[in-house]
Amino acid sequence: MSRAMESVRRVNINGAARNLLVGGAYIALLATLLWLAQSTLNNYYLRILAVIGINIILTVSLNLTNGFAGDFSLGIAAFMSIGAYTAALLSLPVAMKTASFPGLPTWLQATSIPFLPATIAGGVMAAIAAVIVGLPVLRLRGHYLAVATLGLMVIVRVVANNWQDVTRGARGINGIPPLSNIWWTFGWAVLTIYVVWMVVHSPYGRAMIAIREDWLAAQARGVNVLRTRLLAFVLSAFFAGVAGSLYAHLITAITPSSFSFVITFNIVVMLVVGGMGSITGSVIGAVLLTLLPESLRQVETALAAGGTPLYGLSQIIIALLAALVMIFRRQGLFGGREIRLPGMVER
Amino acid sequence: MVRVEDLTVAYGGIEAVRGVSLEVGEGELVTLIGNNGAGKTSTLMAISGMAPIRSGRIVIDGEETTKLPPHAIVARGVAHCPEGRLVFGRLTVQENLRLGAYQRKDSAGVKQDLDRVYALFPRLLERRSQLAGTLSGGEQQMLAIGRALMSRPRLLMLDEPSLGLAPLIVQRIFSVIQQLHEEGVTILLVEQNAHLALTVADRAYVLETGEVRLAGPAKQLIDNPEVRKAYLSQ
Repeated sequence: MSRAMESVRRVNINGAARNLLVGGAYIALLATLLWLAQSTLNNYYLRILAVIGINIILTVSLNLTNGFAGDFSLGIAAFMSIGAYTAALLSLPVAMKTASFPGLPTWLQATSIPFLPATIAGGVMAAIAAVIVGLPVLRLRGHYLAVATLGLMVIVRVVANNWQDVTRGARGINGIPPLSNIWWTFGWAVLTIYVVWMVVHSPYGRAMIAIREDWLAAQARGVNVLRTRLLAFVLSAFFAGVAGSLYAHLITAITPSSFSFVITFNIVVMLVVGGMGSITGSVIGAVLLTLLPESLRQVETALAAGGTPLYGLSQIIIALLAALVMIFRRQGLFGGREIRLPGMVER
Repeated sequence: MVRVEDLTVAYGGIEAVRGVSLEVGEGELVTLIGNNGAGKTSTLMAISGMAPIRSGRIVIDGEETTKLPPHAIVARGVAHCPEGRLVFGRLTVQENLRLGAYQRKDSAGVKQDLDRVYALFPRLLERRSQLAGTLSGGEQQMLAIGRALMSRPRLLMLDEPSLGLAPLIVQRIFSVIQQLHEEGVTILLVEQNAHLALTVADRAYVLETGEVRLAGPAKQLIDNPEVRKAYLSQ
């Protein structure tokens, strides 16, 4: 009996090691499930599953800015677009570049790099854009970030439409290598969750929440408000850029209008429905609100076949759902709380 | 410790502080009294870098800090406990206190100061895992003061610590202020309750419409007929 007590105590002391072990077990479980999905589902469902992974990345990382730091970024579409174009231009085969992009700088025309570094580059470019937008705007108190990021979306779209040599304008980029799959999107999703969780549980995360709760008091207690808000914003932009790359290599064709305000709207709804300030809420919100419109679309098709065409029904239902959550459960499904995975020890 | 020279603070076109000069010496307890809108809060905000300074200088320990950002001023040993008990409502009491020590790296010292704050305010110890937003007004004020102490400040600035609190709690809070003063903490206190402020302070400045109207030892001001008439309603 005393030996049992002893071992229990040892486990508690090694909480971090234990979390690593249990976390590894969960990842193994997820890998098994993905493997099962891979071997049983058809391409249509696998694609939806991959999109779920992308939406988890977007929602969880947006939570850092909009949920924890209390800002309101609407930059998702812009950052995805930057990430998608950057990564696609880097990963396209050289032969295709010389054929379709005669105006591209020669060094870029002669380069083709693997998916992972291309994706990281996409994230980095999005992060740089976030620094440029955030540095002047995040000094100001208030929701200027929402306006500035909307502006960024317009700018990115105009640039993508007109920078013919690099983006091919409205024709977009086709034939992007189909490298993205459930393994990549869920791998990045796990990494995103891990990074966001680590940040939220670090002094920086506490400072973000403090700024959200009371700007003045956070400042008076020595929190560097600009730096902390910028960290949240830039990190979330990085992951949005990564998601853009994953999306581009999944769909294999992008145009400037691929990244419209609808994407931003959908991700914000996922975040709000899941509950701002809850990582688990973001994950659940992303999963639910990816599956729901997909199944409603099948209803639409069935209705259309039955003689009542109601296209657009899924969009309306999502918007209504968002409105209902705002009215009856403003804190979202999770209300800032987390579900702890069984077996994990609190730090 | 801190010297304010000819300070003018203006929000847009409106001057809240007009040419105020004041000084707080090492270990002193100095109070600013005056009516609403006299410029007391703006003066504190200017010292901690959170108000728009139009002209004048602020010198802390011989170093000019007029243009420094708030976090740099905290790093120089100033703790500002703002008006209105601004606690972080959705963090626990203990998380609030830990945020008070945000810039500190010495975890042993932080732990020590945490115990000290709990000793000063045992109520906070009882409620340490409770969300700060669920505390009563008096408890929130204790938490706000405790959080300010967590940076181990050399200058503690308290803005209206008695505002809206029951007399018994005001008494408790002021006895803590006195205790801190006796321990040698330099304190700049802004208070509407002039009588209370003058009872505990060494020196006082009377502010009126953004200017220093009177200054002197608290014991003298408390007997000054002008002060008695205007602020002590006697």
